[in-house]
Amino acid sequence: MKQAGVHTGENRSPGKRRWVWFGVCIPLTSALLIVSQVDVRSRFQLADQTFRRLEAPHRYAFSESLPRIRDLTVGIEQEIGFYQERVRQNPEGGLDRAALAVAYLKMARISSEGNWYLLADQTAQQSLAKLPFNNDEAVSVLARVAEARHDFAGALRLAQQVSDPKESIALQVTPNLALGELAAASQAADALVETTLSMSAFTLQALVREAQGRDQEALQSFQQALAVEEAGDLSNSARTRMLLGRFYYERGQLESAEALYREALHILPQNAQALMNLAQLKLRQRQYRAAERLYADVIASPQGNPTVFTPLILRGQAQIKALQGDRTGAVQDWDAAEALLRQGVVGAEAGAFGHRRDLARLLLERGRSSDIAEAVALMQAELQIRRDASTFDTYAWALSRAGRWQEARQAIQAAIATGTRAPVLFDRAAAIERALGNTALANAYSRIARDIDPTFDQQVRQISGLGSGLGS
Amino acid sequence: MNSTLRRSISLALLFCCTAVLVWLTAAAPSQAHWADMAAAEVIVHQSDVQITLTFPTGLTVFADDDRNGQLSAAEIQAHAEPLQDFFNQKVRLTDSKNQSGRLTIQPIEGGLPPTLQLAPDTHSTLRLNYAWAESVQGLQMHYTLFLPGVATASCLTTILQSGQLKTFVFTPNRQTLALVPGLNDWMTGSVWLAIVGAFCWGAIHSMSPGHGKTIVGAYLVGERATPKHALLLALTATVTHTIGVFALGFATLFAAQSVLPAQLYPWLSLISGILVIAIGLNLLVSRLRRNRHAHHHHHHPDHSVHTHDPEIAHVHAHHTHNHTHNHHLHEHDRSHFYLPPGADGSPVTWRSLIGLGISGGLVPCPAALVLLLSTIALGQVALGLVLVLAFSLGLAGVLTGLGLLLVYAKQLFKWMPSQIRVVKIVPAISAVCIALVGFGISTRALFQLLHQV
Repeated sequence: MKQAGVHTGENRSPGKRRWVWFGVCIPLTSALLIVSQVDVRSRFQLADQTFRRLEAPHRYAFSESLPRIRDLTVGIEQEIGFYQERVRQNPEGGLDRAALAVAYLKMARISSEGNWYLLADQTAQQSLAKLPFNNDEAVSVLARVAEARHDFAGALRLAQQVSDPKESIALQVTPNLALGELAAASQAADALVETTLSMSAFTLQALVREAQGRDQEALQSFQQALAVEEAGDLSNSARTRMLLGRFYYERGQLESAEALYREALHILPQNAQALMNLAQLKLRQRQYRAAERLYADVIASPQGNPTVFTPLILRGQAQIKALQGDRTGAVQDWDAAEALLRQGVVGAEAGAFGHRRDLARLLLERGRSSDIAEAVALMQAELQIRRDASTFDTYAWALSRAGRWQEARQAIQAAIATGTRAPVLFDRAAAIERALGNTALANAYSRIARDIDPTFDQQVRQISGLGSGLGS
Repeated sequence: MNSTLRRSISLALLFCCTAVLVWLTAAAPSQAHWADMAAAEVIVHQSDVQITLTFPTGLTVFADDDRNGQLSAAEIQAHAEPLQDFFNQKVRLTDSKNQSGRLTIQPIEGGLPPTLQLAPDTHSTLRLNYAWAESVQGLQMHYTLFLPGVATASCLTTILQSGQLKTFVFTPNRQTLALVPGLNDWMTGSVWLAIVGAFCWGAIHSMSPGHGKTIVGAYLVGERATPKHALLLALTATVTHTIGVFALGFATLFAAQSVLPAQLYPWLSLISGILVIAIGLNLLVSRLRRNRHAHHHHHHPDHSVHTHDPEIAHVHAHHTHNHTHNHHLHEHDRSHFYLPPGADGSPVTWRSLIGLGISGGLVPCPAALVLLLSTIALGQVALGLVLVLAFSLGLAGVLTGLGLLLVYAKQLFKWMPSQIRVVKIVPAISAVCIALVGFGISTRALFQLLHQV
């Protein structure tokens, strides 16, 4: 016999049952209503944007179109796979190989892993062997690889052989900057802007103007770069903000710099250069744990493979320890970075990827008197391939440490003559003049340094070599 | 300091030392330098592998007769044998029987016209072909072509198979790569992890309240039960359950033949989502009712003494009334509780046991359905079937084990944790979770449909 009253639970009070349904149904219905809104993603992103400090035009205007996974390597891997398959199907085709070389180059730039440059270089060479004429793509890849390997003269020579004028002038800006040929760089950048009116063209123009000391015009170019920004070009969007952030950092405007670095990281969360520049900024603000975390983030790249930035990261970590008084720990990091860099500064490829200047800086940062002669020699060799303000400054630094003050003065004057308004140059000039007994001139240089960056101090001086970007 | 603390500290120190050692040996050495770099493009076929290898020419200086830093076609031909021996040692490909492929070396056309030549050549590119007599399995690549004593040397390798590209960096510390397992999606670690996870989920899920079918059967066969009975009951329920879930999967696959999957999947996802919501809500309601029902019984001992354990039979021992119910009609949980043959004292027959097993497994378990429908929603129908199979195997393993256990040690049955209060609310929580999963699937499908529109 069925115990009806017991089995149906009719004795339970209706009020309690209603509460159970309230507790379950209301949250579920609310969740459904929220997630079923068409603009649910943008609503969540709106909440995120509310906490971002930047205003237009510095703020990225296309946040709602940002892909959920912003690992650019995934798309490039697909592209590489596609062109490898095409090359396999058509081994005699030069164009497919050129396209494959371009894909390798893109991967090299995104991942900062040097082997991709080797692949790009070899594939472009094979492409040219199959198709020696009208193969601008392959020649451009060779020029870009040469630039990455700091063979700036070679990159310029190759750029001049590219028949497409737009591509040719685009390839000439950076090598001319590195060679200290600022007039030629400016001419190429202006021509590029006139031809393309693109974000990357304006950014290059801004960099040239900054190197020439035309700060206001450089800022205008940066603003124009952001004004012509288009959705989808994540790499350039992040890069322009990172470089503008560096511009502000050099002038002591740390809040603007940090906001721009963070915006670059909002666009591309794994952007190594933005992470390293932010780490440098945190070091300057004496937020050592934050800096340490940022360096750790760079090391923990998605692939986990070593990159061309590894020595710079180790130098940054060494400075964190040095600034906290852990000299032993700092020396360990410097030694580790030195071991890496030394293997890159031997033989015919000594200048590849800028290892020679990095090693000289490391030796000077570590401060052993026995290293000074080598630092000077390294910078003398480096000046054979690179003659920008930063390279002259490092040379002047090495000569100062060697007590060769007159030569140091010549070197720093060469740096100042480029027109670059970096406070570290004038600070170095002040120190050299002071050592030479020219107090009035030293004070004048110090004033200029403080005019450019009113917050310039010993801490800034100590970490000045840890920035990342063009010319660093 | 007591011995426990000392032991803990020793263990912690040992752990730290081990961690440091592992870190030191596993950490990537550093970035490579141009002179140390190598790169390999690997293309894997059924019975051969083609590697386009770019490497520092200095490693094969014995073949670089003109010392120009690059191996020419003539040099490769002149030194074919020593080069073959060299690369056989340095870049070795083996199959699952540890047999190396037969290596042939071809030059690659390269070299730049003088106008484009910048620095002197430092690298050479060769094509290495490895061939086996038959289709190759368990392919491994062993790479040891590094500049001696250079810790930063590395070889970036791209591996193309079936249109999919993977990358790997060989270093002096990482010299071996499993080519085929690393390429096939079905063989990747994550898929294996998913299969093991589905197996464990099935096993754990069968332990949760609401899966007492086999226990019921094993218990009710009583004194006359044998291990064979328990085994058969569990296996029948599992096979039926798997077939039930598979049927839905095959129906989906069949539908995908006649309609473009891209158009079909959002709709299927939506239906799946709604179905899962319905299952979740239905379970929630029934489980809330059952809890309330059980609660009510426990508070009315004067009416009747009921054993209302969801894991075991709904057996009414009405001592005060001294009568019996027709238990075949007495249904508390539609999907789980059918009082089986033998409960009323009738003899256990194979036919009735199979019938009981089928009835127990006929309605697919909501968890397995969620698993299958979720993978369908992700467009991974085949993976879903494999996972359901793993899930069912996990379920079968545990149910069979429990059935055998109950036959051999019936006393254990009384100690099942289903009387614990927390265990009683777990079904309701899991039902809410299932409904939420359904909401997620439906919402994703709605977005896809809106995007299509």
